[in-house]
Amino acid sequence: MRRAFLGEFEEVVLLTVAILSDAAYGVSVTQEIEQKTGRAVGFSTVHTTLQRLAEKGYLISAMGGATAERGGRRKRFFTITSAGRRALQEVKQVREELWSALPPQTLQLMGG
Amino acid sequence: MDTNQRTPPQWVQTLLRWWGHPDTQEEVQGDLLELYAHWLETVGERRANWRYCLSALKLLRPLAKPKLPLAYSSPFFLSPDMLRNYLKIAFRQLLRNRLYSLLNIGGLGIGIAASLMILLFVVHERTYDRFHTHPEQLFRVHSLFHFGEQTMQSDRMSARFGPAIQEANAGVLNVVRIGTPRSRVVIKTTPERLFFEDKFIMADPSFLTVFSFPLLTGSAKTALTRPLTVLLTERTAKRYFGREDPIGKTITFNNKLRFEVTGILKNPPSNSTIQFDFVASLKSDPAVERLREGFINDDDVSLNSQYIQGGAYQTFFRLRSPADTANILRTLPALITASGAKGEGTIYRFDPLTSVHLGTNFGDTANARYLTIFSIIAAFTLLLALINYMSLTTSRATQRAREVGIRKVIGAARRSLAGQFYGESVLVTGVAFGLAIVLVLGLQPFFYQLMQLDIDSSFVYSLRSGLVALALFVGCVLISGSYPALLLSSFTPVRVLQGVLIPGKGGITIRQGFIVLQFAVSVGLIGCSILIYQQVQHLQNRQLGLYKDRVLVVPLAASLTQQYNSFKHNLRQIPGVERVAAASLALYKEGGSIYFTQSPVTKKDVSIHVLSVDDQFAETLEIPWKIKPTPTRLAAPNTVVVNETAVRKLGFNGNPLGQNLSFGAWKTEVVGVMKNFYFTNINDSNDPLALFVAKDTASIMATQGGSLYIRIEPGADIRQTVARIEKEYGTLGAEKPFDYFFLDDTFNNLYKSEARLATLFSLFTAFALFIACLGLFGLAVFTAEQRTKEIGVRKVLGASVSSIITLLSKDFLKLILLAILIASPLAWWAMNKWLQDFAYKITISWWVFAVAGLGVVAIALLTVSFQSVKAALMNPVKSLRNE
Repeated sequence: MRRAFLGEFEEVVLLTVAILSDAAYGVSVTQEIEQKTGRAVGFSTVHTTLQRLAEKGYLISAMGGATAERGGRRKRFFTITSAGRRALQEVKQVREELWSALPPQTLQLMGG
Repeated sequence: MDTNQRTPPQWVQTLLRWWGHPDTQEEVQGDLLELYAHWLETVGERRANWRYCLSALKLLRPLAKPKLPLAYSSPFFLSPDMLRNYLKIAFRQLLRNRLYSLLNIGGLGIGIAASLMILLFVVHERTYDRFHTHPEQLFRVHSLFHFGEQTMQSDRMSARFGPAIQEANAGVLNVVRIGTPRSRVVIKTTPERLFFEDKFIMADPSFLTVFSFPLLTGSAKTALTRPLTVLLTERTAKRYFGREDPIGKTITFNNKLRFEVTGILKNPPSNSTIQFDFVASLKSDPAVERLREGFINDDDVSLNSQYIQGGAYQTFFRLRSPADTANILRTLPALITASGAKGEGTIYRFDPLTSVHLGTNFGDTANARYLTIFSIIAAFTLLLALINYMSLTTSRATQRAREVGIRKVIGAARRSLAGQFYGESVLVTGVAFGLAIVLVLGLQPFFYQLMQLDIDSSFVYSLRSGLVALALFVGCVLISGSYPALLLSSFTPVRVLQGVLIPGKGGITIRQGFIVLQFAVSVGLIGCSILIYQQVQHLQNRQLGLYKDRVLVVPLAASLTQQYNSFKHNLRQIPGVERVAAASLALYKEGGSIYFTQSPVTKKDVSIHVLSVDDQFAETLEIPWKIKPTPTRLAAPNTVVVNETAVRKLGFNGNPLGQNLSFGAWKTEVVGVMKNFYFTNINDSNDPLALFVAKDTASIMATQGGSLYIRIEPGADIRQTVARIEKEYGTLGAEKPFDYFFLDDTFNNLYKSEARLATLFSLFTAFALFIACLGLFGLAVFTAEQRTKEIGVRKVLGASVSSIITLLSKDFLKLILLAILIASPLAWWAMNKWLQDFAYKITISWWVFAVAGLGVVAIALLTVSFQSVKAALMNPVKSLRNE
């Protein structure tokens, strides 16, 4: 199987969706990323990334129930698919392989 | 903070509503509102607004990422994948059924080719003279006048006619007069370049400005101003001068006059009424006239005539607007009277030049009615081909039914299926059209020859022809695709996939209608072509009252008069030559002179054709005598022989001999009566005729030349004899080239347009029959397939092969009988109408339609039997097992 390709930001967004599990929608994902990474993220960036991930089949989405806030507009909730999970696993595995291939002295220097 | 201040800028919201992606609009708006509230609390209103705007703007299209795919969205109608699939399926279908595809494409291709060729011809005829810059402003004059009891027409006016009208009417922008030398002329540059010319005209300088005949070299202002100057067309210049530059060189006219070439004209388009190879200045006309008539005073030459009346020149006007004709015709009588001419009873008409070709065209074979017939034939041909395409396509419907069913189950909408079958029609029609174009281009010369046509290739490749072809193509695609697309896309998937094939009874009815129509057209065409053929044969084989087979006609120049007797003597010595006679006229080729003479009995003016002949003429052409003149009186001076019609018209009841007739100043006595023989090329009835018989043939030829009639012995080798005659002619040192024709050919030529119609009809009959058989074959395949089970059951129950063949053929026979019943009366009616125009015509006999009908039935049975025998011979085990 072709290896999944995930951009760095895509990976972050996908992970965040996975963390938020049932409560992942545009705003919560944006705020979660801001909180967890401490970097300012544009909503539009998050939105397009979510769309792209959905297109790649890593996320599926469904509209939530009507809300009282936000002018009565519904939320689109995102859930990670098995393909998404596999992609995250793969990315993680690659990272780990790379880390483990790191020579011990370099690791020491970095750790220091 | 109150709620009003807590909303983001209105205009951004509106912008987002308009331009945000519709698929994600709701959640995006909601998310942004929520974030906005969050930002208000954390970073303050200004920055919240700023962030909101920035995010919203980034989500406007086209920056916004396109939609999430909907779970069950309908894919793009023309998605490339589907198109590729359609094409693949279409090609597979075509390849799998090679014979069927061949029949289908071939039939359609031939049909399109035929109608394209006819359309080209029709468009060519209908666009005559429209290439001029101001076609609507150009007019030609013709006159109607009475002489005796006859109404005559002429398009030739006196020299003064045009200019006088121009001077008196401000609405006349320009006038062109065109004169002709009256007979064929001989043009020579060098002894090797010596030809007869028919298209020598003389015109005013305005010829170059009023008409759009572009001058390639030479000056339009001065080209036709001096006497004895001439413009050549490109092709003529090439013929006489080869690659040399002809400007300033001379050509010799009838061995006497020398014309200086002052320019080269482009060849006139084939759809021009005015055709020419030479255009000389009109000021040359007096010289040409003197060459013809001997010396004439300056005041008496035609060009100087001051009368406004009929004359020698075709006269064309360029008017400011067509409405000016009324004014001109109103002021014309006063002008005529003022000029001193007597013009009572003569009516002048202004014809738009564009109407001349199909209207009052003085003896051209063009005929608006035949054009309509041709158009109808073209339409029928195309319709037959298209119907055939449709019925062949739908007869294969059963094979496509499963495909349609599967496609529908997978989710094809009816519209996309219709699109698919339309697409297949486009493909097949496109291939057929390509074939048609190849056929048209390849068969063009053959078609022109068959139809005796002349169409410029520049016309064939013009934009107009391209548009005609395109329109035809679009029409074909629209019609040919319609029915199959509708029928095939209508199948209900459940029933089709269950194996219940086409419940549609309606489909059968329509297809039967197609068959009836196709065979009705075939039967009608067969009937018509038999009748037209009969009529043409009838016209050509009629009792002409003279012997026309193996008679060679050789025109001779007046200058050969001196050598004539020795030439005749030498000709008689040639083996194979039976008889030689001479006359002033080549029968059926040239119109003769007409005199008006007063009957001594009734005192009425009678128009009478005159012909000078030698004493051998009657015997050579075997014209029988009614009252044979005594040998001494025949060919005596001042005598005349008349035909039976003349006797009747002149009122010589029973006793014509000894009556006096005067022709101009010449008084003659009637010495004999000939039986009527057919001599004119003007109309079908026999006109009065007077023959001046002379012993000394030379005198006949002295002024205008004439023609030798050489009868060749039966059984003699015609080619050799002609070669010997030519050799003999060569010894004369004649100024005219040797030219000959056969009397029967010339006669047959008179019925060119009828013969053309006959050829066309027989061609299309064959075509229509072929197409109809294809259609029938298709239907036979279809029904046999449908009734496979029925046939199986019948066979199991003991039906014989012959009874099954009868069963299958009976249905078709009914259709064909119906077609015959419909077609016969229609064809009879149409042919009856056509025959009304002929004075000399066949009677329509019933057997023609019986033959047509029987022929069609036989051919149809042959077509069907192939399929029904196959169906009847099929093993019932096979057809019944398969459930």
